[in-house]
Amino acid sequence: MDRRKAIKNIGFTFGAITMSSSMVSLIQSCQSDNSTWRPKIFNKDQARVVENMLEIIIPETETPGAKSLKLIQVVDADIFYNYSKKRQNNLICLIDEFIIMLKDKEQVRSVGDISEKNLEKYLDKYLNILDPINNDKELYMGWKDLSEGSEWCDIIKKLAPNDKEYLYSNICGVFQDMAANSYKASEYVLTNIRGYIPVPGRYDGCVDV
Amino acid sequence: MENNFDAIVVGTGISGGWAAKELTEKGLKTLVLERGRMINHPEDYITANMNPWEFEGGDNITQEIKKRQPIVSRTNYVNTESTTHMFVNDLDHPYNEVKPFNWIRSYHVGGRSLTWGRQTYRLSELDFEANAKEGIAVDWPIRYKDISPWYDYVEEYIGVSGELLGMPHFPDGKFLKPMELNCVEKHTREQIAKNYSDRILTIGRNAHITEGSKPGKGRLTCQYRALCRRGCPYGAYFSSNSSTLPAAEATGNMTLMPNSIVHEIIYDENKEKATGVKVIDSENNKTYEYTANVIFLCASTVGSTSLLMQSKSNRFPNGMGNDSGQLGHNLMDHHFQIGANGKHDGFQDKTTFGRRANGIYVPRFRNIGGSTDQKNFIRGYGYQGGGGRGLHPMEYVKEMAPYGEKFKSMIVKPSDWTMGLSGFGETLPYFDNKMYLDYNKKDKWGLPTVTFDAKIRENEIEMRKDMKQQAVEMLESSGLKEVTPFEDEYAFGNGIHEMGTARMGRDPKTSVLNNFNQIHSVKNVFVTDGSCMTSAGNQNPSITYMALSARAANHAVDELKKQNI
Repeated sequence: MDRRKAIKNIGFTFGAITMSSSMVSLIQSCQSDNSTWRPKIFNKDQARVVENMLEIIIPETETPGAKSLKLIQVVDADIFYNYSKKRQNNLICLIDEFIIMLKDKEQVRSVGDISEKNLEKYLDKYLNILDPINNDKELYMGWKDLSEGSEWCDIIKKLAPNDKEYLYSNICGVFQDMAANSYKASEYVLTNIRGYIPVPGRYDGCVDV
Repeated sequence: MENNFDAIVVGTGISGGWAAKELTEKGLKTLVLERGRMINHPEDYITANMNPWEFEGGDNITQEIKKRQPIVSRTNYVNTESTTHMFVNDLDHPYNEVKPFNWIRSYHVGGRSLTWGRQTYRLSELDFEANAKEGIAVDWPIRYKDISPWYDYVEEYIGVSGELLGMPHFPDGKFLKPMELNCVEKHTREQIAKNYSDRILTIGRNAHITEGSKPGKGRLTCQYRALCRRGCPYGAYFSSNSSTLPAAEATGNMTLMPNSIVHEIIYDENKEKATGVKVIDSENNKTYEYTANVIFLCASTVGSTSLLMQSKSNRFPNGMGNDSGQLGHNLMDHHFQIGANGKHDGFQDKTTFGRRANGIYVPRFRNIGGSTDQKNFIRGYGYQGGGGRGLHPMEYVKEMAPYGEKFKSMIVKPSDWTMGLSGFGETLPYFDNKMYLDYNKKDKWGLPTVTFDAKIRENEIEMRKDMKQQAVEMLESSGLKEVTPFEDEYAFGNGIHEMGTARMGRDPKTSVLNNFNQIHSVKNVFVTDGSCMTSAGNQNPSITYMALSARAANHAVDELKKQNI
């Protein structure tokens, strides 16, 4: 098996299955703010990078963005409740690899020292320059075996820098999915944009948008 | 507590609720036994008013749920955080699979009447005659005219919405006003009417109140929340909890005992009758006996059949009523998870208001005579499904704008309308499709576990080819674009319509129950849940169980009066 192709495929599939499509938001309204929030999955660095990435993807405009909507809390809870332990570990491993790369490239000791603007550079690069799509079934199964095994994280840590580029592209795709799914399922979007009403009281099958 | 009753009903689901209502309303002191916990309408519907964003895991089947409900989770939809408490902990209720069988259970007062799909279709004369005409299994001992007044009676009481169509093989009923089709469904309906002389698309007939109210405990018109499986605080869809059990309660003749696992029916050889039941209290593991003149088994197909199998005596060494050797055999379900989806590029300025917990229905159009008869398979199927308008697919949005303001706005914009048809087909009664008890593997109450050995066979496999092909054809000829067939792996039981394991028939040598659901050889035991079914039809079966239960209960009362039982 072409190792480079295999890794390329690892990336795509991981991103594609991240976060269930029916993913619905939660508890923003029940929690006070991020200062008292304790992540169930992310450590401080991971939470900071993911939260900043979510904000770049869903920015504050005339409507609230990822930070205002506390989407990081939804993403953290989704991974905690809905991912298997192995899948949680693999995802965290991928985020850690991304953070190592960021620190190295930016020459900083803490991810807190990387501005949103600088982060955007990486998002831009990894979402645009690589096309990780590969539908080879054999390779897909190869990924599946790897991902279900505990050794997946060890394998990706040892990859050559060039091979890791696919992983960075992949994790940026995962950030996109996380942002989109948590945003779509948020109370704000459901009630203000999608017209969710708890008790509609009637059904009209064909009305003007 | 009094241990002697006029009647005992085992189970409180779709059929048990009806038996309880009819027997108590006719003045019989009735003990109603339920193996699971109490669920009171509506106060015990603990998630009924929660918003989608209020579930910690996003109202998914979380990892924790998958651990305790590995079987229920196979459905991939029924047991999310909002509904998981409406289904059993599979680990507490093990069973065995020779071939994959998804046994989806709700052990509580109301049973699966709280979580059913609410689709309500009568069987027709075509269905009751089919076995005899085609030489399949045994003949039903009843015909449509025998059950028709009971369908009327049940429908009027529970409230069923739907459209009158005047099709003999898809009988009309006592319907409340139909729910509305949406834009793309209306379009598809018109196109099908234009393109086919033998097919029609209609709105699903479902057990929802669409106008006014119905008797029970506060049963009002549907509010279009589409949160039905959590239990409806408006009582808008039929459940035992909101409808039949409150009616039975109101008579003062019902004693309802939850947490009561009936494990044997007591048989008196001298009287040649059943005299009562043995019960394990699931909370303290103590056993009790209750006696009655008449016993109704409404514990669901597999539950009632297991109970009969466990009720061994000198007279019935192979289980009560099993002189024919048919008990546990002829297990049926409806096979589905096959069809097609397409896209419609019109109606861009249209949407829907409210959430309609109902889909469309295309009644059976195969093997109903003349040119509709098929060479490769007998019987037929109907389509369920519907149209809708979702959001743009992520891959599309990612391509247009990978992140930022445009991405943010695009991912919440409505996409094209889609339309899907999913076939529900009849499964024939095969002797080799069966369930039996394993006395070497017992559950935590020391009772034998059930083993399933059933699969769909050639007729169903041939039918499925047509189900897929016709779905594609109908959508394409209706002008839908990008029509794509789908076929998911169907496992027996997935239809959650298990039935047939104590079938009705004319001859005690080849069937378990007679034309009034009485065990041929123990006339004071009635079995009125899905186990009585002689064939499956392709229609969702609950309304038939209700009608047969009401009919049998009234017959039981008549027979008691005449001292025949």
